Amino acid sequence: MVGRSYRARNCIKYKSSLLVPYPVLKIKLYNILGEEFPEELEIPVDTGYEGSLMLQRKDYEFFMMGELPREYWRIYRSFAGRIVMRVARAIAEINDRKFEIYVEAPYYGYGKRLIGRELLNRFTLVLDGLRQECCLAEA
Amino acid sequence: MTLVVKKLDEKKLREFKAEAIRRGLTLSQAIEEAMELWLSNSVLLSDLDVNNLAYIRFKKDLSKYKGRYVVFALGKFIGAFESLEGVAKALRELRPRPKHAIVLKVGYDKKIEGELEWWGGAIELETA
Repeated sequence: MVGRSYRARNCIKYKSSLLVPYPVLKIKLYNILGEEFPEELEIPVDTGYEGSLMLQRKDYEFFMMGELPREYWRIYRSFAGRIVMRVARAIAEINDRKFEIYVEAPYYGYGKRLIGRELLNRFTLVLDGLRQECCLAEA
Repeated sequence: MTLVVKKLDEKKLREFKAEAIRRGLTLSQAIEEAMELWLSNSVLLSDLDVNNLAYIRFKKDLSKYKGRYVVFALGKFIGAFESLEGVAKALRELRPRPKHAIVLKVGYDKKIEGELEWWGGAIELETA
């Protein structure tokens, strides 16, 4: 048996959906010029997405001053086939901690807002389904 | 139609195929697109294209800047910087102010050769 306890900090209520609520993380974003993205985002947590932070194409335009060269863009395998994602640098602020991340958006199509494993693996996250809360935690 | 081409440079063809995949095109679609561009008299390149061309031209010199951010905007190499603050300052000073720039941290940003996972991923083609 693993004896480990986590102290939950900064919990956010799950967002409601048609059938089952889903966890979200609150995140503030800045582009490479240091300009703040006009919205504080509550973005769904998606452990099935291997990337960092996916945005809608319109959101992504705010970060295009820090895009990576085309050969650094990413290709995802999904149910809908292969999806090419543009990649740019951004600064994320989560729980008063700022760090550099990649943001992504599809080259074709509208896109979605999702937090993927590349970013999730930088935190200890507690998905408390019974309380319907997503919490950043300390081990 | 089917076309057989002899004596193509293998390396160039490999790069062309890889670029087609990155753009989400089949090889035949990419060749058609390239032919259209070549045949049209006035090729208008986007900021994205000119900055990527500047990056490609500069690629052989990248190793000198390991650990630094190299910046390309307005179709040229702007400089190499130790920090993102330096990058931001340089970009803010550019006139006309660009809408697009390439910022690569040499040796840190990784080129991913394979396909990443997005289980169940689907993207709407139009705004909902």
